[in-house]
Amino acid sequence: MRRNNNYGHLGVKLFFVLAIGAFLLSACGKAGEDNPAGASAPTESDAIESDFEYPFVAESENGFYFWEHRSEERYVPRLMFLDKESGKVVPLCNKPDCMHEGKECNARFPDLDFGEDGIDKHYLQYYEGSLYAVGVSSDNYVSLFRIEPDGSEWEISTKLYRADYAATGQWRTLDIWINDGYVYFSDAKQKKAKLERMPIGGRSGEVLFEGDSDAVEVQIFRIECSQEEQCVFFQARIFEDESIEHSVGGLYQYDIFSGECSLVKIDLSGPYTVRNGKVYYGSMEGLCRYSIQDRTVEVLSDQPIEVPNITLTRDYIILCDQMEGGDLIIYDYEGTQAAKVSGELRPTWYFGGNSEMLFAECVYDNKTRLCYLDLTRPLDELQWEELQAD
Amino acid sequence: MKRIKKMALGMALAIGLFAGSAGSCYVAADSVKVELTADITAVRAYGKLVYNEAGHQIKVTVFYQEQGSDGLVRGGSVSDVQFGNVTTAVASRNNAAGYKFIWGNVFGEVDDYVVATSGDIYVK
Repeated sequence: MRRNNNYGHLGVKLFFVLAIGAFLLSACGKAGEDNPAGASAPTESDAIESDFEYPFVAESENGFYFWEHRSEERYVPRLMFLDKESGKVVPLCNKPDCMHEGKECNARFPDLDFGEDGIDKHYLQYYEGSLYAVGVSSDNYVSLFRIEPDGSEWEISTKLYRADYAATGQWRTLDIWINDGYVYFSDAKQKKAKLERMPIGGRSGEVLFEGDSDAVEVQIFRIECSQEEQCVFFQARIFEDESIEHSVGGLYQYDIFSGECSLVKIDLSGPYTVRNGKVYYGSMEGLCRYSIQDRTVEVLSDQPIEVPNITLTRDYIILCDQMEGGDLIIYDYEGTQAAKVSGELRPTWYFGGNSEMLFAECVYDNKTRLCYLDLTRPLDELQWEELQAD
Repeated sequence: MKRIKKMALGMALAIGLFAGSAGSCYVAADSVKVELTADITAVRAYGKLVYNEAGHQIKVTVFYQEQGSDGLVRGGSVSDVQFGNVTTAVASRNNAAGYKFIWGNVFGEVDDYVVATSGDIYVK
């Protein structure tokens, strides 16, 4: 079921204007009608600071968007919205009298399917007043989909590259990120992947990074954009032959102004976060902070921790050791451990978050559940809780 | 009626609405057997759906997560859809180089209705 068949830009723009107009009228005139997500674009003063290792939760100025976890009770995940002010979790649908269960519900988006437009239920990003997801178009292109912030309409925004889904039925989450008007991505089905970018709504892109011509394989992953550095950071692993032992991995940066790529730190292929010219990561040495300018490593905490996921908030460095039990360890920026979070709900896939909330998939009672952790609570009361619709 | 699954029974009314527009549709009956096989290991994510009545669209989808030694987790899926006289759909994917499967969930559909699921499967 497709809500908008028009891929033409003029039709899309006209519809968008009308939709915004209708939305503003309804928002003003009908108190009490569900309007879960708002539609105002973020401003400079409302800059959102979040740090997601996996962009599966999108933060807007009003709340968070996320896909439900797929389960036997919920085969087609709905798009959900967590309102920051009320704390309520609702399907992203403001249709009157909608029970939010059938295909007619606005919170339902088509799954990946052969010969149909379909959206993968992982990646979400809120950018300049719109929500973006990724999937495959009916003519078999990996595509960026744009969704109205209230879920009422969606359309294909940008076709990125030819998919192999029609022939293979296979899909794998890809590394993709929107920044400064461009989509940064890597075509994972290529054995020698490249970092590419394309203007949002554009039809052709440019290659920013590719491995040596004599490499047999190149992997690109963990694309992150840093507004303050005006850089796009990414990791690459270059294989000289088929053996993983004969590969070189590292953290690279693409300078948006100069258009140049450079190696930041070799052998850094685990999770990382960049802030104020410093790269934070875990290693067998401990929690480390690497200065890009000085090329020096500072060990903040010498407790060995291999490939932990990292989130930087205003006050803390948060590590999630999901490969070894899912403990959450919270440090201050001096390297002093402030808290440790364990419990019945333990992250198996940690996404990240911001200074107020973290998100992860956790396992409990032999079922995977989407969970959140409220960082506004006292440190000794922190615990993961299941994120459920109200 | 003993062998009719709960989900199929619940969909009986909806099925009646679609019968006129579709060439065929899923109808639960004692004689029709649905068999779903799910096998998720570190190196393979596999699902098979057998529906022993021809003339339907049958689809099996394996949703999975795999993790690399560098900690990176990727999600994915693999699907197979069959029509006509074919009564078996098989979807399988081997692990990507440097990755191991850590979770999977297999769904079987007949004529766009989910008829069987494996539940969450975790690879130790």
